Amino acid sequence: MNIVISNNSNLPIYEQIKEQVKTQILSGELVEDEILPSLRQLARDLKISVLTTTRAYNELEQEGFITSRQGKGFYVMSSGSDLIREQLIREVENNLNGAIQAAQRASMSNDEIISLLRLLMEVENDG
Amino acid sequence: MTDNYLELRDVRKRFTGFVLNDISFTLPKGYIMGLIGPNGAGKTTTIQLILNMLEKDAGEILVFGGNNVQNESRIKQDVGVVFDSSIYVDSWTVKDTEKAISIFYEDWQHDVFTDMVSRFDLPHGKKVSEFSRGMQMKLMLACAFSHNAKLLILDEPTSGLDPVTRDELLEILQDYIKNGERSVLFSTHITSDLERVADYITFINQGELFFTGSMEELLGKYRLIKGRPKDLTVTLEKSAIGLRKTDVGFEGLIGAKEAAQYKECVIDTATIDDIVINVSKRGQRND
Amino acid sequence: MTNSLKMVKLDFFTMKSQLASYAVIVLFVLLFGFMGSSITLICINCAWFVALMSTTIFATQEKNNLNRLYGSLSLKLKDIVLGRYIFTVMSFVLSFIVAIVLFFGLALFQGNSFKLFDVFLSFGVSSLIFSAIVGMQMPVFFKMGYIKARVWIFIPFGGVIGLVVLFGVVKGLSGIIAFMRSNETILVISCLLASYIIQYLSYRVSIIAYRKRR
Repeated sequence: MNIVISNNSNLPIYEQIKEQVKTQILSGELVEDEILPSLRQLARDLKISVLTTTRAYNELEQEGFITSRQGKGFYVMSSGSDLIREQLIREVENNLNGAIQAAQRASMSNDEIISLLRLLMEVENDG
Repeated sequence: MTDNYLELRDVRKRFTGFVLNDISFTLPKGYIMGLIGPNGAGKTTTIQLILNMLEKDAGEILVFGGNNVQNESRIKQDVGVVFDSSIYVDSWTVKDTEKAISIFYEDWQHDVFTDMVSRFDLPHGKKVSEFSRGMQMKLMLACAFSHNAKLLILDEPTSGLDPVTRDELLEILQDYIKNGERSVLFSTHITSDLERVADYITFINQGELFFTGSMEELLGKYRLIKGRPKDLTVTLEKSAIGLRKTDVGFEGLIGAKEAAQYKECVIDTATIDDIVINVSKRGQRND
Repeated sequence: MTNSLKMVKLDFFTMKSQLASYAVIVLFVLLFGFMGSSITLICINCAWFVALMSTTIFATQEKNNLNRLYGSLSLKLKDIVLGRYIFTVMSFVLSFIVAIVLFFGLALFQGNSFKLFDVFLSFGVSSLIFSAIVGMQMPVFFKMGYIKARVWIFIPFGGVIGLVVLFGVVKGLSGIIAFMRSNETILVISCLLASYIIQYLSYRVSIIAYRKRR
């Protein structure tokens, strides 16, 4: 597991940890059943407080990405990838809805919206 | 074995000209607590009360779940103390120090002491008075670690130390609590030392308990508010802590929940330093 | 009790580097020995010298702020005070032994004769003098700390010396002294007894004095 904390980020440290863990689960860097560093080891390595790592792990556990096994530590859950995909898809939905509403205010037609979407996707794929 | 290594309940101590009033806080095992506040706020007094170097006027102090006065001898076997300057005799060498101190501990670990002394590069031939401040601090630390102390109490250990040594100390403390069975109480007015590493904070200001709880709670509770002179409403002026007014604007500390309503102002996260500075100013303003 | 003994050890470690000043006693002995003084006189000189030197540890304690060290170790009020008294008495006994050994060595070297009983007599009398001085000093030093006590100690000292001078004139006391001279064993025993009583009373006062200081 790789974690890099930024002091200048707007995100609190525990959020940064959560984001990076989720990203690594999605990309496959962290695999199902892989054991994560212990709360205290992680705190020690990142030079942050134990309560911070505790909060990050607890929330990840509540959200279903990792699970704790009594006396053994925290492990990546198999459903992790799916959960994240679900979250990301929901994010896409929200963003698309926002875009559609803005387009309607700008009086764009449905076809115009779809063309614009295709164009942007091409740019995104090329770039 | 109790889960709270240190517990203060409504502790009170009166001196002429200064009163430490109703101080209560709890330090569970396995965590680091920072004891912060401006100079003269009562931090050292609190530590002296915990160690029974001063007699409290009222309240209760529990160390490892037991009364700190009745169980003093037993407790001090498991408590290590580091002060801001050397507590040993000037003319002692490292060897003299070990010989003198080890007398008092049932569980003195010579190997641990030797290991720490070499890790810290402490000179063997020199007297303690010839040590640098950093070395003096490390000697106290080496002694504290060599009798299996479960609670480490440090009273301003980093004043006068360079950033490298301060950083070293923080790493050492984090290693110390790694097994979850030890706690640290760290009093300091150099709050940047604590910002990332402390789990809990107790903030004492002018003898009063201003806050005790997790670091996160403290940082989440306050915001820095800045704005133009015309944005300073009457209610804002009253509720801001440590308000500083200039011709070009104002700045102060405010509760996070209240901050939301002041939409024209800039709201920033407050660092520990911001909180300590502004709260200390509040007291001065009232005088 | 054991904590008090640990305190005694700690006091010895504290004063370790100042052993040199105690070596001055050696010089005293040699000096007076060559001048042909009696053993009793030499020991009396040792006694008041060691008694006055015994306050040095208070100076070291204050200079190094050792109260913080005592606070971090499990040393309670009683341990500190009792330990200090035992340390002081032991310092005296050790100095006495050194003086005696040197005196005997010198006497043999010079071919002088000496009475063994004189050793007991010297010990009795010098103990009394030592205890009287230390008995007065300790509570003052415990109560006020080294710096202030150095000034204030002259009041009780001056008072006692004044009393001694005064009583030296009174006839009743000289009668007691004559009796003592004729029965030296009783003299020794009563000196030692008086020493112990003075030290014990002084100790009780010190406990109260030191407690008030916290």
